[in-house]
Amino acid sequence: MPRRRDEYEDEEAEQDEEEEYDAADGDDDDYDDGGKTKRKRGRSDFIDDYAEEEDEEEDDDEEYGGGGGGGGGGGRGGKRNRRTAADFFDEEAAVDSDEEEDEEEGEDDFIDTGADIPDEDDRRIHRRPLLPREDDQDDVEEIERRIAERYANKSNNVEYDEEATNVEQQALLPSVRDPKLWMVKCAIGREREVAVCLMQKCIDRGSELQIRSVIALDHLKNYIYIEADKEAHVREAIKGMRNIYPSRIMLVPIKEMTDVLSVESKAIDISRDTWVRMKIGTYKGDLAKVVDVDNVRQRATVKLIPRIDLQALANKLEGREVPKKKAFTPPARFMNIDEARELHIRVERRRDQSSGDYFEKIEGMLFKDGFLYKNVSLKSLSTQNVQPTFDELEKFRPPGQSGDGDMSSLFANRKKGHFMKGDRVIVIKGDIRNLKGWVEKVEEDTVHIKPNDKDLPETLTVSDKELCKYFEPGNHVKVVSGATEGATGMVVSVEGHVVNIVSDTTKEVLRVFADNVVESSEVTSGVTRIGDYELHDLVLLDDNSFGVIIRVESEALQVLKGVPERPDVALVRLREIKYKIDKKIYAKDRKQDIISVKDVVKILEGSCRGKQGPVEHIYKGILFIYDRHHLEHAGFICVKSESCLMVGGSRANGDRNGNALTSRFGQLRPPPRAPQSPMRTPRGGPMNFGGRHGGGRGGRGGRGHDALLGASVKIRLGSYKGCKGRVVEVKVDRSYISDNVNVSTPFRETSRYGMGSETPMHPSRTPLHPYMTPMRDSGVTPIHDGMRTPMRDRAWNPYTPMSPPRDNWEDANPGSWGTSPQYQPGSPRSRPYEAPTPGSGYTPSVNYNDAGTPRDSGSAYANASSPYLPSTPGGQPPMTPSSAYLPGTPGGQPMTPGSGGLDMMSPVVGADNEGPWLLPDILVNVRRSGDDSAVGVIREVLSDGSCRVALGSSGNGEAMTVLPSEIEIVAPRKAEKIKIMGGAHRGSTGKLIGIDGTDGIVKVDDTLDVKILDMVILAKLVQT
Amino acid sequence: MSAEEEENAAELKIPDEFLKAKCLMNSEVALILEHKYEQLQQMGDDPMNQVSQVFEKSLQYVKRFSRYKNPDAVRQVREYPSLCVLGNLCPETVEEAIAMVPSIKTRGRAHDDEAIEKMLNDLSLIKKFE
Amino acid sequence: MFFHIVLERNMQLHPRHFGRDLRDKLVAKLMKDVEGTCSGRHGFIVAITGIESVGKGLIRDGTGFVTFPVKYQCVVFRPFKGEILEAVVTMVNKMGFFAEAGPVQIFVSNHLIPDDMEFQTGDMPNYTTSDGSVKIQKDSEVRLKIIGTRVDATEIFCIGTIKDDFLGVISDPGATS
Repeated sequence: MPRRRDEYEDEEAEQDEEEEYDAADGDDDDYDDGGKTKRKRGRSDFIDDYAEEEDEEEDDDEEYGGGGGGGGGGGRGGKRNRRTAADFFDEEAAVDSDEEEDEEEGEDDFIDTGADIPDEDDRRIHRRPLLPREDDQDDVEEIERRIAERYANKSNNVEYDEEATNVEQQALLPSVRDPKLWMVKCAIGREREVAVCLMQKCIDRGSELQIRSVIALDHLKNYIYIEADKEAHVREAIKGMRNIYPSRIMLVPIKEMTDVLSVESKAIDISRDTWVRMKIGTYKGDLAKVVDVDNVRQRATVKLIPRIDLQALANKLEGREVPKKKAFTPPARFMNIDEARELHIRVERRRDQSSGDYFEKIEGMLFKDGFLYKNVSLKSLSTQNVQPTFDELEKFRPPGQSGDGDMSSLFANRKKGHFMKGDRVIVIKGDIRNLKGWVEKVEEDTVHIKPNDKDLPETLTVSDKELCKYFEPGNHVKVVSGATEGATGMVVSVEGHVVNIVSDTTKEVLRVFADNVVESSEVTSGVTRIGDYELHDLVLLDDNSFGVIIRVESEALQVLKGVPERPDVALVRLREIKYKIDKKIYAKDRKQDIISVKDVVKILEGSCRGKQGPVEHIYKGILFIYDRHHLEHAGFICVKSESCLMVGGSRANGDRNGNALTSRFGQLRPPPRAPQSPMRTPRGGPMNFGGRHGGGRGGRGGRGHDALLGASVKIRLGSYKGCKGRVVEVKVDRSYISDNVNVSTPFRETSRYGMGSETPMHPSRTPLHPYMTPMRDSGVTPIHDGMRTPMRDRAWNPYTPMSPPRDNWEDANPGSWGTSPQYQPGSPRSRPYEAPTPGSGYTPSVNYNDAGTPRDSGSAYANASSPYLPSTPGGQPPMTPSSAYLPGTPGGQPMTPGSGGLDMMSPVVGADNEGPWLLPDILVNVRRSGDDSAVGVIREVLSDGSCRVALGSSGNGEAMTVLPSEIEIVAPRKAEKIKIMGGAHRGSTGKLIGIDGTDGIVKVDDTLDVKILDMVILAKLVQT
Repeated sequence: MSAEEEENAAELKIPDEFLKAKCLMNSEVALILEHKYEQLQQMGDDPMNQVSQVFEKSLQYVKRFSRYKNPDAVRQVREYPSLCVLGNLCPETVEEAIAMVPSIKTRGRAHDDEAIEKMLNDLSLIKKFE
Repeated sequence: MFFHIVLERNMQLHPRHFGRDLRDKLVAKLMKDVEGTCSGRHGFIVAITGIESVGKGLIRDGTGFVTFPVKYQCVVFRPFKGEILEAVVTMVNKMGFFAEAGPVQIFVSNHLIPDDMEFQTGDMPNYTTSDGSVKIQKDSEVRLKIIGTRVDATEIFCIGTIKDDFLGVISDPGATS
């Protein structure tokens, strides 16, 4: 064991001193042993050492070590030599600091010491080292006298009583009248030496040396402290000395004086049998048990599980080249001496002189029972919050020894208030061992328990050390400390102090100490979050794959990837996650019903066939379904949306908005048409080239309820500037508006439509068609507008990406315009256009238009809708539909193939998707072919998507069943009551408090929130 | 949680509302659920897609663990002053029955061993002849 | 254990459903809302078997919704601590096995499996007695005793034991096949 063996200048002088005060100490004997064990830190050490010195006197070297309970650990051999004046100073400092600390820490320690140590002796011990000793003739009285002299005017300091209160302690703090502390620079490593020299000087010179004391601190290199009244005294004292630099003498501010002599409080916590962790080196983070503490040298002997690569060691010993692989740390395992011998490593067996235990010594390392005994600096130990895990303790148990012994040491770490009233406990020690009961009352260290046994009606008082918490299988508990802190679960079995718990989330068995567990009905999973990601979140990973977090570990996450074919679980680190996917996305199930999050679906194919559960996440057409009966992957199943079918809700969910009820009805009835609103689909998706909300807008325009509708307008801006026309349809194009069109002015678009409708204008415009046509491509535009919209977009937004169909359009357009049969003057304005509208096909929302209706029937439409699938919003090239549809087109239209294709689609929309987005109690226009439109109120949405509509603006009239395609929603005006038809608030009612372009500002009734919603999804509410 | 509040079916320490409610044998539940299932079937469509998972699981379970398949037999058992647990588990010996349902002895229903045995015999007879 | 029990629920209905078929609407909504749910108190509500009464509706201020107290009979499944029931094994692992009794999942930890049964890995992991006479594997039917229940909003999870008299395997699919 490496020990400091500083050479001191005058070894003999020290010897003398020791003898001197040993002799003087005769009367101190009584408390050597009694006081030793209880005391800690500086003071006790000091006393211990002191006692040892006496032993030293009387006994021979061998036995000396045995006397010291709290002193240094194994390898005391060097101690005697070490016992020098230097130590002496050290101890003195420690003692002083102890006093200082008492002030800080309250009275506990203080009184403690007071009880153990007779006042007089204590004081004397403290003081004695301060004395300058000339010779061994001084007797105790003489010393006392001198001291009294020295501190005569600071009587406080000398005479204070052990029972001193805090206030009195305060008075001990240095004041201006006290001697000052001077910090003097000296050679590094020579601090102690300098101090000793000064002491010697003091001894030699006696009282003429006017300094009071010298302090060398272990932790402070390069400086010593000298206590003196004046700087001149200091200078005088150090004059002519080696290793000390008089040029640097600094005054320590009064306030900091106490700090100089305070011992680092951290060291206090370390005592024998404490669990600590290593802070540095190979054993960093390892659990260790303190075997011995030497507070003086700030070192401790700890017991560790060795991490030694025997082979490497053997190589080294034999002088072979050791490959330097620093990267790896040998695993912790017990030292096997036989194995070491086999590798021809020399193993010495020697007896420790202090404890009498035998150690195996290999290469300077000490081993016992397989453990490594290591002497380390206290600073390299971490003592705060050391919570050994079960596994660690299990390992620490030497082979073949039962675990109970170690448990008791754990109890020492218990916090106050460990037991609470109502806890179920079991007695683990003493006569009433194994008695179970409930905690009735907790006092300081005792616990009153009410025994479980009916024959013992009285409460018993038991020390808390003798109690352990007790649980029964079936209890639901929460882990409150340790590695699995926070987890909850049910107790399946109890083995002594260890309970086995089935975790609520992972369904795995955890082994925890009964002590670390409290009964709780709470259900948590322990750690459920790292950074921004939480258990069950859907995340996008680095490689653009995505998945659901199914388990959170300390530094990584388990992610069930979105691969439907087979479950693929990846362990992912935080940095590999790009972001959390938190979108409201929808997908379609096998029947094309729209699935949204929380809908309950059933899996129809694949390995998980037959399972069902609520959809937790939807992404790219992949559903993540949570089936609590699915035991793998935390209950998550990843499937394609098409492999699923929506089923009646087994989960009462509020999020399915107003739709829920209707959908349920739908399911109860024979034709379970999904009454899902197409509007809910993210219209903003891929199709929106022209404007953010192009699709939706179109729908609205189609309804023809804009105030501008039918008005004669003049185009104020753009290439049509100056043209006049009647507004046939209003389509608000967001981007357009943002392109400087004032909302209050008629939009160009509007006017444009005008062109179409107004015969006179028509001719003039025709040439323009080509320009406009491109717009159709934008796909964005609602169906109604179909014809026009596309054009607009193009025309106005030259940026719109060119899609293949567009070309067609350009060619076709003129034709379509001219030829379109619907373009009859007699028909309702909007209609004529709609019929031909090729563009409309793109946007499902359009469907409402009557225009579509006539044609819709085609099965082709079904397909058409698919592009709109919510699940694939981004990916869908807007153009694709057109080509796809082409083949199907029944055509009949005089349009070019391209346009024809588009045409087809428009009906499509109408067929399937509209129904859902109608809701009862809204005002609509009913238009049946040939009839003029009539206003009515939807009374009920039937499962096939058609509606019962009561005619009349307040719904008093005749009721009729109307196809959704014959219905147009009446757009609300400002200050009217509205119903929200789509989005998260679908089904909610509110008041339209303002209109901003295409957005309506709505105050939602339920929440009183003000929302900005697309006007398209707002419908006028008719209250009944 | 103290011992008093803890439920324990073996000692019939269950919430009052269940003590008052009629407990059902698996066989009875099977009858009820199957009936309901048929009703759904008549409404067209695959009822399996409409019922909740709880329903489905329960139906599977009670079908699997029904001791009496014949509705009449179920009715007969029901009439018998026995506990439906016994009807579910069909213990063979008195000892087993008591282990399964300790309360048949303790609840003062005047079930001594003989009575229990007789009951078990009757139950097995019903089963035999269903 | 299954029970036939009468429960009450306040149903909120939007006025749009008022009319001749109001009751049907209520029932349909009730079924949708209630069937398949689980509460700690009553367990799983498996099926509604009848409506006892529909109370007088109460209009809620502000919303127009009307609240009807509905009493209905239903079949519930509620596991109790101490209850003995039969269940089908769904998964076996080294920590124990999971079994299902209707909608309830029950975990039997290996601590609660008789000590003479040992875990065997393989395609069909199982617990087998040393003499091989008794085997618990997937699809086995076991009789077990519930020793603990945990209830949350949507499920009840139980832990059970087969370490007691007359508990254990009642049918072994391996033996028959």
